Amino acid sequence: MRIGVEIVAALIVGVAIGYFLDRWLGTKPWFLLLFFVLGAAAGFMNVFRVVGGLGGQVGYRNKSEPTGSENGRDPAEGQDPADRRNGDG
Amino acid sequence: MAEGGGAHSPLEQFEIKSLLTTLEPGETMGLVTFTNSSLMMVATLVLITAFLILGMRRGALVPGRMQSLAELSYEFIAGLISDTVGSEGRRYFPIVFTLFMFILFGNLLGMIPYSFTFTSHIIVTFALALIVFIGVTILAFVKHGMHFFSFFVPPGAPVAMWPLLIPIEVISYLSRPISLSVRLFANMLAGHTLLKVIAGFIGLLGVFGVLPFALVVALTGLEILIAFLQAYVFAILTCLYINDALHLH
Repeated sequence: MRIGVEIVAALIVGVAIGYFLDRWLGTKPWFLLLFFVLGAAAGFMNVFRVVGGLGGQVGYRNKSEPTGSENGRDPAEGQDPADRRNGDG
Repeated sequence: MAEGGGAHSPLEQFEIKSLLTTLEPGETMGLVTFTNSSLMMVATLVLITAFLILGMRRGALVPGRMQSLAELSYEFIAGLISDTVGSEGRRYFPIVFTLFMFILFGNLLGMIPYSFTFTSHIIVTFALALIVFIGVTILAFVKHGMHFFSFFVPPGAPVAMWPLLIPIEVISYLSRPISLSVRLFANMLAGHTLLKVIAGFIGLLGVFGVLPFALVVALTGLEILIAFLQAYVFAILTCLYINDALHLH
């Protein structure tokens, strides 16, 4: 259920953006095709994050940072000063 | 589907009925309409308020049963926030707690026979998810200003890949409210429909109706689990989004 929802949600957003860009610019069907593919890619990336234990589509994280998985680890755990400096750069 | 006179459609339970309305006879849209969905939301709010106020009325050092429940729900969400967001997330406790209790009580009230599950309507869950999405986006802008847009650039990605990766990340970000709302809505809708479909077999099978009856009993237990689980998932994803907004990468 979870994985299906992620793909469908990203596809809906991609197709909606493409459809309305086409309607606005009158470039049927090129933006629809482009954003359909991008939406599918975003959907697969979300699935990859769910399966990879990154706790849903929560954006990219530094590899050094412990990911806020659904088990709920404290994000403050891995934030040693070196990581903070990386984050500010 | 409903063929015989007494049979009901399994989808009938999701029908919105207006109870009070300002609709005039000629109009198609009333200004204010109080539906069975609104009634259940008001009932949910009254129940949550009663649950917390009555539970904490005595404020005993050694809690009684109701006080334990109220404290348990408080500590559950407080622990969830401090686990996922950290200490600076405590400021956002009210919104997460409100969302969790509203969805949880809505799901559980929907488990009472002949009642109505307002979380099985996409417009309700989408409105809740949109509150989270807009709130979190505003929070990120307030915290980080224009630096917020760096959220869409994966760290370490070569510049040549940015034109491809940024649209994907933006779509991924925009799909959050949809996946958040569809997950809750689809679980409630599918579960309640399944219960009614299986229950429809009980009368049709005669003596063998005990089999679907046993299944309905088991599924009711599962549905109560899902009611808790979906409220929890909604709350934890809200926490993760708040965490993202506060810390970006």
